[in-house]
Formats: sequence, structure tokens, C-alpha cells
Amino acid sequence: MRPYYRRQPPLSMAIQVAGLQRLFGFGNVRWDRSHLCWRGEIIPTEFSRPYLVELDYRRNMPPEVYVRQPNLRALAGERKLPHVYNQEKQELCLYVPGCGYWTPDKPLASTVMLWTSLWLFYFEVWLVTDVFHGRGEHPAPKPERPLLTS
Amino acid sequence: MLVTDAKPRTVSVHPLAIIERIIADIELSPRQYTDAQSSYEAVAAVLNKPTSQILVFRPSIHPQGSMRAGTTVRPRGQDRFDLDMLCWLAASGKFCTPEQVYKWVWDAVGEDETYRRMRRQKNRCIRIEYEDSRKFYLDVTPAVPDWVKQSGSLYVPDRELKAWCSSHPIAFVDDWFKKSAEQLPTFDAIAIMNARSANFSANVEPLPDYGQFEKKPLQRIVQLSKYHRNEYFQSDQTYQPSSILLTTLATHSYVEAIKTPADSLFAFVVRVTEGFPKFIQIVENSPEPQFIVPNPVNPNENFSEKWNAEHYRQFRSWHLQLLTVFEKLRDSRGMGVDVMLNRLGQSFGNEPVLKAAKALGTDTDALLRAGKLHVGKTYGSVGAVGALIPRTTYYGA
Repeated sequence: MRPYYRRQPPLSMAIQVAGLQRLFGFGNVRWDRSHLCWRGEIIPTEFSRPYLVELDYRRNMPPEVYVRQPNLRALAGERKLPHVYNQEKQELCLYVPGCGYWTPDKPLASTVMLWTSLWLFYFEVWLVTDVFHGRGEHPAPKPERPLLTS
Repeated sequence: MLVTDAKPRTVSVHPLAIIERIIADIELSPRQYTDAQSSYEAVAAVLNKPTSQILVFRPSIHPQGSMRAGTTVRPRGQDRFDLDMLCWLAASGKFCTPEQVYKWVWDAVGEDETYRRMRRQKNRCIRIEYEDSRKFYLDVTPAVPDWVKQSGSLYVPDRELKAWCSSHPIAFVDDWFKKSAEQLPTFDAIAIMNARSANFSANVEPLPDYGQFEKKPLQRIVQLSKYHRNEYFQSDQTYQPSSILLTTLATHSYVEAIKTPADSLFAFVVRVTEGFPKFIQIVENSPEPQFIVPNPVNPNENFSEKWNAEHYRQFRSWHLQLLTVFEKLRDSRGMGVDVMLNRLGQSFGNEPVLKAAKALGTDTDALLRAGKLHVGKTYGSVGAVGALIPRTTYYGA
């Protein structure tokens, strides 16, 4: 993991939307210059149920991904959901922030959205195995200042 | 011999792929296969020692049964395979009795200090029990050529019946089973295309190697039915259909099923399984009907010789259950991978399904790390086609 990344200018909303329409064209996008919202049903595998997913992205903010349907907690039973920011809102944690996995110069469609599909697949396997097979980190103290020599 | 080397596992969430993982876990591994081979060669060497009493009969040992066919399934709750071996002797049944031949081989095995402690008597074979580290028994069945009709058939001694029994184990596998397994099913391109546009089926946005069996489909179908039979008859084996019977029915049905293209491998497996009962002949004798499943290479041998009406009834209810399992799995499409896995667990055992599901998760992560996992454009499905998923580390508790 390399915590250091080059800062590039953020992609414009128009470019982000074009990316979403190309790779996730089955959903709907509403957008203006400072905000976009993609909403659509993702079916992570042939045997999976459909998941209604919403991506909410505001300029200068990290993107937020929610599963609106079904109720994941109902599926999970007694267990706490893995890798979510919020059990109630079903907001997914798709990458470790501040480590360069996603930065505003990267298209949402080829990063965050792909991780969403994979998250949903891992979630379905987790329901049975109790193991979330995607690699994960639990929230730790804020990422430290990167050491340039590592 | 039909043995595949261990290949790196690929990921597919299809129930057939999960079943394949389970079977690959309980079949003879290529390494165990090599171990077994050196073990039976060592037995053959003992029988061929210059001092051996049966040297004159030029004894040789050949694997038969599931080891020869590549369809081994470890018995339930056991950590060992029973591997069937044929000990061929150039003796004539005209001049020696079955008991004599059995005893000669028994004594010849016992001439070696080590094997003397490891040999056990069974009805038709001599069982060699190895130490725990070797995960198998060798069941060595003595056999002599057909001295009456000079055919390729063999005779094996039956100690309980005190008689020679006609057998044709090598030809059954080499001339019939393997030749049938070489023929492969074909798939209906139009059905696959229609399924693609209508809903998920066939090869839509497949995970790598989706719908591929690592072994020949016939071998896997035989293993699948043997495995499910073991699960079904786990508490009482009285009426359990034998492996050779299932292999025969599956092969007949397979040969018939490949004549028509199928919509998918899954549909093909269901079609082959549906056909099993068609190849049991029922002769309505009074008071008991008679059931006939002839050995295809030796029509005088009937694999269901010991069957009565209850055997048949139990066979049919097992068979119906297996078809119901397939139907439930097919219906779980679109309901959740977890639903499909739980249904698999109900009929193939929770523990092996759990193990296979974990392996699927681990393999998926490895594929992601190797930069080989994609998301398709139609439904955002994880698979082998579409946009490449970059690595990530999921965050949060």
C-alpha cells in the first residue's frame, strides 16, 4: 500500500457522468456541476438478488454509496454488517480513505462502483461463511503522514 | 488413465462449480494417485519375486473400478479410499478351484514380512491395509482368463459361493466408460443467445471458466451421483445402489443425452440424471419383479442381481430427491448466492459447502489481486468480462 499519490485536478462532473453512463448505463444519473446521484439495480452474480444502489457524490467530498434495498441487516440477522460506515444507513466502506485508492481525479465508474459490485458479492458469501473475503482494514487512528522513504 | 493434474482453481458461483469444488476435495488427488500406483507396483513386485509360488502364472496388477475410471469418491465419514485392483494370473479355471487361486495369491502376498501383517481376507479380494499416512486400502482381486469361451472376459473367485464369477472390469472402463466419456455434449447457440437477452442463464457475464468441469462431464456426473447417494443413504446402506450400477446408468443416459444439444451444462447434467431409470429393465415376474441392468461388456452379468422391489423403490426416491435438488438450485437464480449455498448445504452437507464457499471467496480475492476480475456492463456483475476491478482494501468495522 502506497499512501502517497500525485494530486491531479478533479474530474469534472460531466466526465464522471460519462463514465457512469458507459459502464453503469443501466442506472439513472441526475447531476449538475457540483453534485451527481446515480441510482440503479446491481446484480453481482447470476445467482444474486438485485440490489438497489445509490451513489451520491458532491464536489470536494468523498463519494457515498448506499444500498437502498433490500434491508441488509434483515439478511444478516443478529450479526453486524461488515465494512459499512453506518449500520442504519447501509453506507458501504469501499476503500481505505487517504491511501490513494480513490482520489477526485479518478472516475467513480472504474473504481468505487466496481468495488460496490464486488462488495455485494462478498456480502452474499459472508452471509453464509461469516468471512468477508475482500481484504479489509478496521478503522484505525487517522492515516499517518506518509513517509517518503519506505 | 483419466486423471487430471491439480489446476489452479477458478472462481464461479454456479452450483455446479461449488459441487465440483466439493468433489475435487473428496476424490483421489494426483499425488495420492501416484502413491497408490507405487503401492500396487510394490505388491506386484512381491508376487513376482524369484521365490514366489505363483511366479509361473506371471501375475500382474491393474487398477480397476473407480480408480481406473477417474471417478473416486471418498466414503462418507472415512478418510480412506477403497481402491480396487485386479491381480491377473495366467492360470486356468479348468485345473484349479476358486479357493485354490485365492489361497495362492493370499500366501504369495504373505511371503513378504510386511504384507503378512497388512493383509485381510474379504469375500472376493485380499485387502491390504496401509498405515494411516497412506489414505487408501488396496483391494486385490485375483482373476483368471476365460478358459471356456477364450473371450476377453475374466473369472474371479467368490469364497462364499465357492465358485468362479464372470467379470469384465477392465473392458468395462477402457472399452465402454472411457470411450463414452470421450464424447462431449454440445450446446445450443441460439438458446444461449436468447437466454442472454432475456435473463441470466448459460454464459452471461461469466466468471472465469464458468460452466466448465475440470474433468470429463461424465466422470463428474458419476461422482456427483455417487456423492449424493452417500449422503442420502448415510444412515442405512441396506438398499444403497452400488457404484458400478450408478456408473452404468449414468453412462447409458449420457450417451443418449449427447445426441441433442443442450441449453447449458446445468441443463445437460439434469437431462442425464433424469434418464437414469430408463436403463433398468423390469421383468414382471410373480411374486417378485426382476430388475436387470446388464454389464454392457458382459451381458451375462446383471448389476442389479440382488435387487428386490424395495431396492427399486429406494432407488427411485433417491433419484427423485436428486432431481428436486437440481430444481431448487435452478430456482435459486436471482434469489441470492447465500440462498443457493444454503440449499446446496441441505443436500450436499453444510460443512463441505461452507468449505467450498470459503475457497470461492479466497480465490476471488486472489483473482482481484492478480488483476483478473471484471464487472460486466449489463447488470454490474462480477466476472471475466467488462471493466477491470482495481485493487482495494475495504474499510470499516
